[in-house]
Amino acid sequence: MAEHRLRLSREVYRLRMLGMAMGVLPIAAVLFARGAAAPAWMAALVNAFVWPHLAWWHARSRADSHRAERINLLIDSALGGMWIALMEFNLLPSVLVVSMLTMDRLGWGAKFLVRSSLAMAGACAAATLIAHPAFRPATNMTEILASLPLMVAYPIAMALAASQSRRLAQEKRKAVEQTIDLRDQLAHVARVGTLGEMAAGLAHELNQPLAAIHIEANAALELGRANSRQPGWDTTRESLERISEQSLRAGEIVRRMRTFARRGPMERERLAIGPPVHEVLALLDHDLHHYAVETTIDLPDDLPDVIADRIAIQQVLVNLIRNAIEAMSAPAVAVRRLIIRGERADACVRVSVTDTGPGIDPGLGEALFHPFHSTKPAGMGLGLSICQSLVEAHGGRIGAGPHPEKGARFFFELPAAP
Amino acid sequence: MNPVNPSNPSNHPPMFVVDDEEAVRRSLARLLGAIGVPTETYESAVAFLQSYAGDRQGCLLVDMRMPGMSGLDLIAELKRRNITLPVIVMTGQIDERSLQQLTTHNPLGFLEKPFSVRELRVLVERWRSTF
Repeated sequence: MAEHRLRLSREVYRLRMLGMAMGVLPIAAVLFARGAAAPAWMAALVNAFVWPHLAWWHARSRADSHRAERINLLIDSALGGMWIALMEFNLLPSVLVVSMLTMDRLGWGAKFLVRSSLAMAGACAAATLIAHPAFRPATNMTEILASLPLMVAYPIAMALAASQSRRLAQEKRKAVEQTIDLRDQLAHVARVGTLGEMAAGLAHELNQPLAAIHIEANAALELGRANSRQPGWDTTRESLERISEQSLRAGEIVRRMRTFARRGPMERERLAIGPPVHEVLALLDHDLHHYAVETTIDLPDDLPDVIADRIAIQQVLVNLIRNAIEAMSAPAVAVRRLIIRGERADACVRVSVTDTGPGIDPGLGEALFHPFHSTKPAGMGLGLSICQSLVEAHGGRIGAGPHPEKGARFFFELPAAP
Repeated sequence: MNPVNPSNPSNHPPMFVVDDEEAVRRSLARLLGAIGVPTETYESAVAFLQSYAGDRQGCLLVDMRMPGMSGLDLIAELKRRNITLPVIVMTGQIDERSLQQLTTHNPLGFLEKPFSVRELRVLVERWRSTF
C-alpha cells in the first residue's frame, strides 16, 4: 500500500519538476522586463529547482505520503498565487498558472479543487498586500514566447501520465479478474469432484453388499436344488430368484449413477509446477496471513515439467494446503510453518506439503484417503479422496509421510514430461 | 500334471477368493461350493501371498480395489514370481488405464460388481475347460 501511494507521489514529483522548469521561463521573462531585484530572482529559482525536491522528500518522509502530497499541492497553488501578484498580473503567464494548476487538481475531487483555489487566491491577496505590485496585465512578445513551452509541453506530459496510470489500473483490474476466474473454476471443479466422489464412494460401498446379496441368493438356489422335491420349493425358488434379480437391478442403478457423475475429460498440457503453486498460494493469501503462517517454497529450477490438467493440479494443491492451514489454525500451535517442496523422484515430480500442526494419527493409514472419512468436526471426508482421484487420473500417486517430528507431510507424484 | 475330475470336489483345484469384503467372500465360497468348486478365501493380497505355495493349481478370483495391495498389484507380483495362475478380476469400477494394465496380464475374465452369477459361472466353466 505504502509503495503504491509513493508511486503517486513519484508521478507528481516528475510532473512538478517539469512544470516548474518550464513555468520559471515566463516568470523570468516578466521579472527581466520589470527589472526585478535579486530576492525575486532567488525566489523564482528556489521555487523552480529546489521546491520539487523538497516536496518529494516531504512525501517520502511521511507515513501517509498521500496526505503529504496533498499539502504539497496546496503549497504549489499558494506559490502560483504569489507569482501572479509578483508578475504584476501579467495576463498570459497568470492565466497559464491558474489553468495549469486547476487542470492538475481536477483528478483530486471538487473539494480539493476549491481548497487549492482558495490557497491560490489567498496567497495572491497576501502577496499583493505585502509587495504592493503594480497592475500591468499587458503581455509582450518575449513573455508570450517564454510561455509557449509550458502551454504546449506540460499538457502533453499530463495526458501521458494519465494514460499510463489508466493502463496500470487496467492491468490491475485484469489481474483481479483472473484471480476471480481461477477461484470460480476451482469451486466448480470442487463441486463436480465432490459429487463424483460421493457417487463413486457410495457406489463402492453399496456394490459390496449388493454383490453379496446376489451371490448369496444364487448359492441358496444351488443348495436348494438338491431338495427340489420338497413341497414349497417352487415358491422358495421363485423368491430367491427375485432376490437375485432385484439385487442385480439395484446394482445396475448404482452403476448408472456412477457413470452419470463421472468427471468430464481432463485437459492435458505440459506445465511447470511452479506457477500453479504460486497461484494457489495467492488464492489462499488471506488465510495464510490470518493465521500468520510462514511459507517456504522450495522448487528447484531444474525440476522437470509435468503433463497435467492445470485446474486439477491447483485443486489438489488447494486441498492439501488448506488442510495444512486448518491443521495449524489451533491457538495451541506455536510455530506455523508451511513448506512446499518440489523434487524429482525417478520418472516423477514429487510435490510435498508439510505443516507444523498436531500431525496425523499413525493408526489411520490408508483410511486417510477413503471417502467419507474425516477427522474434522464439519468435514465430509472427501477432500483427500478427491485429491487421490485427481492424481490417479494423471497416472500419479498421492501419499502421506514421512512426517516431521511435529506436523504432517502429504505429497503427490506426477509423471515428468519427456 | 494329474488329470482332475470336476465331479470329485476333493480332486478339483481350488478357487482362491481374495476380497477385503467379508460378506462377498463368504457368499462366493458358499456359491462356488454349491457348484462343486472348493474355495479358499483371503482377506487381503498379502494374506494370499503368504499362504500360497508357488506350484499349486487353482484359479484366482480377486477384487481390484482393496486397501494396501490392490488386485492389480497382486497380479503384477505373481507375474514377478513367475506364477501363472488363471485370474478372474472383480471390480467395482474400472477406469480405462487399469483396464489397459490388466489386459496385458491376460486374465480369464472381468466381473463388474455387482455381477450376475451367470457371468461367474461362464468364467468358471472357461477355467474348467482348461483342465
